Amino acid sequence: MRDLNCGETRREIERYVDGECLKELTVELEAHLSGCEDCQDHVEFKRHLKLLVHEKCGGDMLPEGLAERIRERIRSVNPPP
Amino acid sequence: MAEARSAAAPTDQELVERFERDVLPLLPGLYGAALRMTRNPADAEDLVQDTTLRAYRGFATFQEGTNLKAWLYRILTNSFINTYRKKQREPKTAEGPDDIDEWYLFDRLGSRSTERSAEEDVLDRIPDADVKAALESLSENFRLAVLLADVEGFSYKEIAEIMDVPIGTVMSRLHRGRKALEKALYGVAKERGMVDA
Repeated sequence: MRDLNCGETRREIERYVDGECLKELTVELEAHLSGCEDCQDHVEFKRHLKLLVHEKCGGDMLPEGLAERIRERIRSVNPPP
Repeated sequence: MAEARSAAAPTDQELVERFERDVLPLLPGLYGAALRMTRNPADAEDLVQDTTLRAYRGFATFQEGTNLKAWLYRILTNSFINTYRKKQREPKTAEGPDDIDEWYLFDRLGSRSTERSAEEDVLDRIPDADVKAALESLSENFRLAVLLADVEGFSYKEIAEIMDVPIGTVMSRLHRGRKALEKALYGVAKERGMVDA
């Protein structure tokens, strides 16, 4: 297992927060993070931002009647092949 | 082989029912994504209608038990790119994401310069509509990558399949798209007087 420094850790934080790091790298990152408050802050910041985008950019209401229009259109088209 | 398949093939009625049961509940998410893509409600509605119709026509060949949501978003993304992109005018950004510092927002709102709770507070106080507008201000490939990853929660591999690009391209678009988004969000916070200009 490698010892990561802060620079190496920061470069991987985006992928780490996305849950896309391989197991070995994840273990190395977490070893560094457990002893580095500054890198932990960077992780928390990215995690917070990702969650914020998720929460604030979703939740749009379907226009009234759209689901019904789609249902009718599907029932009226030729059956699927 | 053909006989065996046709013997096992579901009836049209079964397909309609399965489509309504499995796909219609995903409509609100699809519509939200369509809004972020097209940036206007009328086009978003058309895009969702086109997408569901195309999905319905292909539904007989869709393998039950595989990733329905990713399959639908692939159809949505393709429909958008083929039909609506031509109508859209890309927003002009003065500065490409490559000129934006790494950790742009952290360096401005991070915990060393301000109280940690204050920094998170600034972001939380930005109204939803402004965050949506910030996302919509990104150029198309960046906007799609961030939308699919952060709003819809797809993995890199799924996004690569949806956008039909290599995973390395997904990571690059996400990284650059997020930097551009951080800058746009900071601009909103400044405009609203949430941070010192």
